[in-house]
Amino acid sequence: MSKKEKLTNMLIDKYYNERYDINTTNKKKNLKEIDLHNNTLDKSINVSVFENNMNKALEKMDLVDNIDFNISMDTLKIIEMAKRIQIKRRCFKENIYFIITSILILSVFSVIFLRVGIKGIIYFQLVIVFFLPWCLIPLAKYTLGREQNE
Amino acid sequence: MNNLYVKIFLAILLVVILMTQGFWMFNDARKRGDKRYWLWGIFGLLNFPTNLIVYLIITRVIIDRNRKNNI
Repeated sequence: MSKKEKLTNMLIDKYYNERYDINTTNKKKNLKEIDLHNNTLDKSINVSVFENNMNKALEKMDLVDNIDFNISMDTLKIIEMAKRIQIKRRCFKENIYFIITSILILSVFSVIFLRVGIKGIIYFQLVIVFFLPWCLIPLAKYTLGREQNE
Repeated sequence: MNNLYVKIFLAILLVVILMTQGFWMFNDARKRGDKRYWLWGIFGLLNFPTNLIVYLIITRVIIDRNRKNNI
């Protein structure tokens, strides 16, 4: 274990009122050592400097504790809200796509009917009115029955 | 000339009615959770009001009755 690590462990022990080597914290001795080897000494090993740094960090931690964070968040509610917003956006996009598609379809139909004439419109409508209900209603019943069997 | 204005007015009215019907069917089918809501929407653009009646028969009568019977 390096000198610095020893010092750190000792300070932590001191902070939590546990047993520690009192000689390591002897500031006067430490200061003397600094005076003697001022140029070569690693300043971070100095007890008082280290204690000061630690106290500053602790003060900052207190500051964080004092800030009133809203911890009582309803995460489920937020997720539901996000999903609702997502669905709303998707619906809005699909609505726009549908309007564009419907304009395109109607314009294509109008061009076809302008070329074919009024007879074309009448035949087309007659086919839809007479045949589509007879096709769609049994088809719906058939698909419902198949879904139930699955 | 007057006849032409009437024709244009009727054509615009028809387009508006068809688009409203198709849009309503599209939204209604989507709300009901139907997978084929795009088809219903396009189906609503083809004719008025037969397709709306067919849609209402299929969704409100056939499908709803089927659901009730299952419950």
